[in-house]
Parts: sequence; C-alpha cells; structure tokens
Amino acid sequence: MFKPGKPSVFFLYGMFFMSMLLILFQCTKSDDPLFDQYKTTELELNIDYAGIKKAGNETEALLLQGDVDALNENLVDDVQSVYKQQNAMYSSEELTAIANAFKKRKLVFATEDFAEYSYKIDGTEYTLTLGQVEEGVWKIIRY
Amino acid sequence: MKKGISFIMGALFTLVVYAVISGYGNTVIHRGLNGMMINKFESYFINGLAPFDRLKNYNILLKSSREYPGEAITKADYFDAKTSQEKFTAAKWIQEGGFSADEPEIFASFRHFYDPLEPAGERYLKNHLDELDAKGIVNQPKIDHLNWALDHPMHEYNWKNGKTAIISALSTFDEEFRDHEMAFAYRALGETLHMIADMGCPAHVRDDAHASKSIAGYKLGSPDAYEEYSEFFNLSNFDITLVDPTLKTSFQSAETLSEIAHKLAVYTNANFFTGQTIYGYDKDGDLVEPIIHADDPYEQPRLGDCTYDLVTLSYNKTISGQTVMMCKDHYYSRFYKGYPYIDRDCAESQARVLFPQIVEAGANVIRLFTPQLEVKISEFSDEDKFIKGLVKHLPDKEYNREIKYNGKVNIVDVKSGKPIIWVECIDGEFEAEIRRWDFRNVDWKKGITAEIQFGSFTVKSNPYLNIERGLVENIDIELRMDEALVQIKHDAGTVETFKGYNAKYYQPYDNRGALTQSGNSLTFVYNETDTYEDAGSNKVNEANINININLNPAKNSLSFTASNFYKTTKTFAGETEIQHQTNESASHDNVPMTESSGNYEIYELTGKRVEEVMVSYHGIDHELWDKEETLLNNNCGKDAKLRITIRYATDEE
Repeated sequence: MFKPGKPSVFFLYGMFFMSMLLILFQCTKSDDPLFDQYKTTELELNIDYAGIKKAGNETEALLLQGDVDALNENLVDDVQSVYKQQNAMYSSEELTAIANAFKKRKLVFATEDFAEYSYKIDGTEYTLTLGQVEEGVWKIIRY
Repeated sequence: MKKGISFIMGALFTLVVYAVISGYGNTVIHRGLNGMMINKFESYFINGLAPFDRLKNYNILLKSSREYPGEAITKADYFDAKTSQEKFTAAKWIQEGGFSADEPEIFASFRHFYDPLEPAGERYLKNHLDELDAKGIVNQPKIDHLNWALDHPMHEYNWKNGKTAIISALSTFDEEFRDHEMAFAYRALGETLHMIADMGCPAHVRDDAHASKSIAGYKLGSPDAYEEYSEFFNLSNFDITLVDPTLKTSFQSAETLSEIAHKLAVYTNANFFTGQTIYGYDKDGDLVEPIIHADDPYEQPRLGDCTYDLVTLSYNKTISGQTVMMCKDHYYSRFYKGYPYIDRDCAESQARVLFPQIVEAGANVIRLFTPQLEVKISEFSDEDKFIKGLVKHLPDKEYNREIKYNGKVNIVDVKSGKPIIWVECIDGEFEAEIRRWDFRNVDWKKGITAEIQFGSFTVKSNPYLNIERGLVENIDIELRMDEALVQIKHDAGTVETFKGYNAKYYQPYDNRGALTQSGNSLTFVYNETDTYEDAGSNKVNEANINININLNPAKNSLSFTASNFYKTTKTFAGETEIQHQTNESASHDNVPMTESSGNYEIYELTGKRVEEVMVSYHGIDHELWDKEETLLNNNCGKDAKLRITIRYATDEE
C-alpha cells in the first residue's frame, strides 16, 4: 500500500522529520522554572477536527445562502435567545461579506468542546466560535 | 518534484497541528494552578513570613523526588474514568488531584458550583439542572462545591478525609502504610485546591452551567469561553504577586478552608461576568440582559460601571488595581451592535487578576492542611544514658483534636546533619536509653535535634545544646522541710507560689515563697507564720528565710547568703513565753558551681532546726562563663535548674 517512492510516503517522511525537529528544539518543561522539579502530565487532547471542519463548511454555506433561519437552527441552544435577533439584523450584503471572508478562515483555537475561527473583513479581524453539542455535532456560539 | 512537495506538505501539516494544539501551553490549567500554589506556599514558607512562620521548624519538600504509592485517575471520561495504582511525588499527587477532581466529568460537573450569594445550603448548581431534575432526566444532587470538597461522603478524596489520612500517617508505626496515607492526603489536597481554583472561575460562582455536550438529547449548557481559553494559558506569563491586598489579608488570617473558599467566591462573583451573565446598561444606555438568570440577574458587576474602549470595542473595569477587559461587542454589522461576549483577550485579561488570587488562596489552604507540630528534646544525659522528649501537636480549627504521634524520631547531629540514632515515639512521647559512644562526636555548641518525617514534611526540634541558652525562665526550687517536699516551677522575675505541707505539725504552706531576679542576683524569700493549738496551749511559730544567691560568672562560682529567723512561742494563762528562737545568718563565697550540684552543710545557720541547705543546679555553659558574659541573660539555659533544699530537723528531734 505504501510503496517507497510514492508521494504519500514522502508526506509521512515529512511529518516524521518535522516531529523530530519539534522534539529537538521545543522548550522542555524543565525550562520553565515553575515546573523544573516536577513534571506535569501531558494533556490528552482528543479534538474532533473533522467535526469542527464540517461545521465550518456548513456555516460558510449557510452564510453564502443568507439563510438566517438555518443559521438560527445551527446556534447552540443557550444563545439562541440573543443571537436569533442578531442574525435577523444582518443584511444580506453583510452575511455575504462574512461568508466570503469566512472562506479564508483560520482555526485559531480548539479544545474538545470549543473552537474558534478567525476571519478578516477589510483588514479587521472577527471571530466565530463553535461548541460541540453532541458527539461530532458542532454548533455556532457567536460570529 | 512531487516527492519533495509531499515531504514539505507533510512537514507543514505536522507544524500546523502542533501549533494548534500547543499554542497556549500544554499544561492542564488545574494541574498548573496547583503547581503554582505549591510554589507560592514554599516561597512563603521559606521566607518564614507570618502566618507561615508557625511552620518555622518544618522542612517541606513537596517537590522532592520521593514517591508515594496510591490510586490515580489515569484516563478521563465523562462517565467512567479509569484508575490505576501509581507512584507519584507529593507535588505530582497534588497536581494530579487538580485533574482527578473533575473525574468522572459529568458527575463532577453537577457538583462543582458555588454561588456565594445564595443562602447556605442552596449554593449548588441550578442552571439547567433544576429543569432536568423536574423532567426526571437527572437527579439534582443539591450539593455545592464547597460542601462537596469539604467532607461529602460520596467524594472520597475530600478535605476531611485528606486530613484524616495525615492524622493516620502520624499515628502509625508502619512506614509503608504511612506513605500510602500521604499519597491519599496529597491527592485530597490537590482535589481541594481544584475547588479553590473553581472559586476563582466566574462560571463556577455565577451558576452558569457549561458542560457542552448534551445527555440523551438534553442540554447541560454551552462552553464557557473563559474556562475554555484559560485551559491553555501559559502560566509562567502570569504575575502571581499581584494579589488584592484585602483578599491577601483575609486569606492569611483565615483559620479554615471554608473561609478562604467563600471569600474568593464572593470576590469572583462580584467582579466578573461570564459570557451568559453580562448585565447592565451598555455604552449607548441600552439594557443588556443576561442570557441566563434574566429574571434575577447578578447585580454586580454591571456594564454601566465599565468604561468603553473605542479601539478594542471592549468594556473595561479596574479590579484590584488592574484594568480588566470584561467583554467585547465587536461584530460586523452596521445595524446591530451585538450581545457582548468574552473572547480570548478578555479571558486572558481576567485571568491576570484571578490567577494571583487563586494562587494566594491555595497557598494558604496548603498552610491550613499542615498540622502544627512541635518536636522537643526535653532531657538528655550521656552520663545517665538517656534521651527524652516529645512530639506535640498544637490543635487549631482544622485539626481540633490533638494528634498523638507514633513512629520514628531521628536524633540528628546538627553539625554534620547526619542521624545518630532513632528512637521510637509513642503517643507523642519518646524516652530511650542511649550509648555515650554514639554521641562522642557531637559538637555540643551546635547540639543535636530530634526530627520526625511524614511524607514530604520534616519537623525538627530546636537544637539541644545539652545546655540550652537563653534567659533563665524556669527554675526548679525544691524545699525540703521535715521530709515534706515542696516544689515549684518558677519563672524568673515573677512571683510564684508553692504548696506543700510539713509533716504533722505544720499547716499547708501557701503563698509564701518568692524568687526574684535582678542582674546576677537571685533572691528567694520565704516567710511563714503558722499556728496550731496544742492541749490548751497556743503555740505560735514564725519563720523567715531569706536566701540570696549571687552568681559570679568570672569566678565560675556563686556567693550564697542565707538568713533565718525562727521563733516558737507558747501562750499560757495570758502570758507568752518564747520557747525557741533563732536569728542567724551565714554566707559562703565563691562556691564552685558544677553542672550537677553543690551541696552545702550550713549546719549553724538555723541552729537545731535547719539541718542543711543544699544548692544544686545545672545549665551553666562554662566556656561562656569564662568570657564573663552575663549569666542570666545569655549563658544560662532556659531550663537551668537551681535547686535549693532546706532540710529541717523534725520537731521530734
């Protein structure tokens, strides 16, 4: 399946190479005076990148469509009371502007249940946050 | 070419994943905060500042490499966390307690809230939970975080059980068991410190549920931005010295865990919003209602009390001397300014104020977790070949019953720092035979100490110099009168009383003896007037004894002056007849002093009635005497003994 010489194998070589570099050159915890004499357990991250990506794509599509009702459906329950009004106030031009900017979004922060994308409109940075409401299901908290 | 591109893509992919995962450090916040609390506690402890100076005879090495075996949670889970037997250092157990307190997550998430504005007993999480309880989905446990952490029976690693483990560790001779108990205690302390950290987390003190995932389709809240962002903050970037002065004073004067936890919760509740409890009039005068508790919003803080920054589009407030970004309303809309929210900038700004308070509170919790013990060598004699001492617990509000220490006491040579022998302590007291040979190399100017160890705590006695130096505080005086012993402990410079009785003729003595100290002089004055009736006769005895002892450091001796007046009268048919009277005095100069005793026959002093006066004492440092230092101020031991024995002849004689 992975024959030497195939591009996918070189992709793996690249990953391995970068991993080694990071291990060699990253600051170890012993560099931190707070933790110089005792080690903290590594955080076991189990981030659902696939779910976040899927939610990001769906949000982008809804924004492009200007489908406010569908956007409202995609809000985390707790915030619907305030953000439903907000969605209604956006003009279709604004939603399109957000959607276009959101196409070039960056995932800047992610935990097991929370993620933040950033996007820029006219050079100004905005953020969109998501929360995982069920296994693999992410919804919008704000944008 | 394709291979090269694939290689570069692979490397870049790894770099991006790494950057996303480790952007804010890779330490779980609770573990990290617990670590900072340990550091702060140790810095306070090392500097010996009040109230940490009560542990001045402790050596605390929570970060030492010594490991303790116990049960740890090794895999997190919403419902069923995995446990295994592990060996961790004290610091690691405390840090791991910060993590394990949240496991299993759903169970813990119902019990980790404390709203200080609610009446006691009703401070538990209500947001979402009351509703789910009403629907029969979950059972509302009605347990707030403080009660949960303090002593709730369903929470094994609670504060009370942690203290019990410490008591157990101090009470057992089994060292393996002691280590197990200490592991338990450290983990319980760590879980308690987790509670402290939560008291400094706005969502946990403002009834804002934030478990993101639903259970069987029912919502338990939405992620709290502050908590999510702060999970990844690099703690070494925070200045934990910025403690609110009022809070600092109240934490340091606190005598119980509850006081500290409640005060921190009140502070956090009153000063910080959560993303769903923002309330007040905004910059335009429009009312912003909270997303939750809209019908009964938290009165403090208020948006109207904040200043609005037009550059960052944020609301700011000064808290404990620092400007804090409370929330933002930065939205891309011409028509709607949007509901204010907390983003990473706000969370970091708030953490800059909250983390120092949390760490200060935690350091004080560790202080309260440490029972106050005193180790003392009370007697040591290489001539009589014994050592004697005690390990005393001083009860406080957290440990209100006296702990009786059982276990090893190491006797350590102060100069070399090496243990000489160990002796067994039973119920707080130790007494053992020694061999002179073992102590042959002790430098008695530096002396020996007695030390006990439990976990990472070592408690040691003040050095026993054989002659403890300091002011003469306690002088034993033994008066021996007609074979009746009268003994008092005397604090120099104060007037003490002594009690006793004198065989069959004398009334009990009371309030008659006084020892005073002035410079190198010790004066003992004793007066008595006793009466008794004897077959129709009235017989009156009067006695005055005045003993003056002058200590002479230069000559390594003392001068002794004693006078005695004694009179016996008999009254018969209205006439008083003196039967016996003495009024004599005697003095002795340059009586050599030894550590053991000087024994004086002052046979002429009081005629027939006084047989002898014996003076003995020890506690004099001969070497220092040669330097002519003031005996009473410097050279005499705190427990120097001056023993005056006055032997009277009995009436029968």
